[in-house]
Amino acid sequence: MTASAGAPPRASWTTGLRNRLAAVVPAGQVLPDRQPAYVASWIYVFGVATLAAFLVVLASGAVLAMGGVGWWHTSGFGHYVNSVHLWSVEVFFAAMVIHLWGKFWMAAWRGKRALTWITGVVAFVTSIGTAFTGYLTQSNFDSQWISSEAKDGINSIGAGAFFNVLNPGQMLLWHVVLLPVAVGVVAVLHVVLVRRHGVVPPLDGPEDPISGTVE
Amino acid sequence: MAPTRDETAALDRDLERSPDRAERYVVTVAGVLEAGKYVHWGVLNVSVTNLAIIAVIIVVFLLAILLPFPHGADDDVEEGVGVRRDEERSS
Repeated sequence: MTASAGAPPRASWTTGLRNRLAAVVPAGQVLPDRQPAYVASWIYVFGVATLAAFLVVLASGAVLAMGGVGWWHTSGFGHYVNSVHLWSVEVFFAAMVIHLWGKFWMAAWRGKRALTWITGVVAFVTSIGTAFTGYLTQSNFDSQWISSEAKDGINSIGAGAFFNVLNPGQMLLWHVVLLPVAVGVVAVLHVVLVRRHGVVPPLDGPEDPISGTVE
Repeated sequence: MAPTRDETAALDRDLERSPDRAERYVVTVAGVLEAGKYVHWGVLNVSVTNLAIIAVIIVVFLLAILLPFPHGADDDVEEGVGVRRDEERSS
């Protein structure tokens, strides 16, 4: 359908959503190729390394999911994929912690960037939950021991009735569906907010190009 | 470390021949699964492996802070605010 000549475009939810999405990030900031000099820091390399490791975690986890929880116990290739899954998680957490420490000492929440900082923290906490439920889906003595130890802690906060760590099926679904989706969504929000508000300038650095304030 | 397939199969055969060896089976598998050395410090209990990983993370963090970040020849640094000129490089 075309609008008649001269008439203003009819408002629709498609138009509204398009305009809203276009305004999420300033023009040219979705994938910028020019950055302030203070962005040249190893701390941001570890932020990107976290995202890269997350992709390896998801890919190796997908291969493990195809074989099932017991597959890696009886297959050499399965054992290899399980090790890739473990060590990509180690790299994921190491890189994320280094990025977090660096951003903490940079006071990265300055200049209306509180939500960027908060989504990073939420991504970190959600990732810990994802890793813990992963311990419970190893289908070995280790997972049995951890679940029996964890149940008292979960019960003590009143969550045991609907989050039963002794239920391997429930923990498996939290580990492979709910929590990874949550981590992915929060990570996307975090990156979008970084692009929306820009990288925080140094404490003794130049004027903030986004908020216009001298920190 | 998980038992190998051969070790598991041997234990299974052992168990089938003599069911009353179940206790030995459990003890043997538990021994194979021995997780290594732990460091106890008050309420803290951490494996040496995890402690080593944490130490490596701290060292890498310090290196990330202290080591200078390499700059490309096409970086334009002016009064502390530089930009990468990828557009010019590609043109």
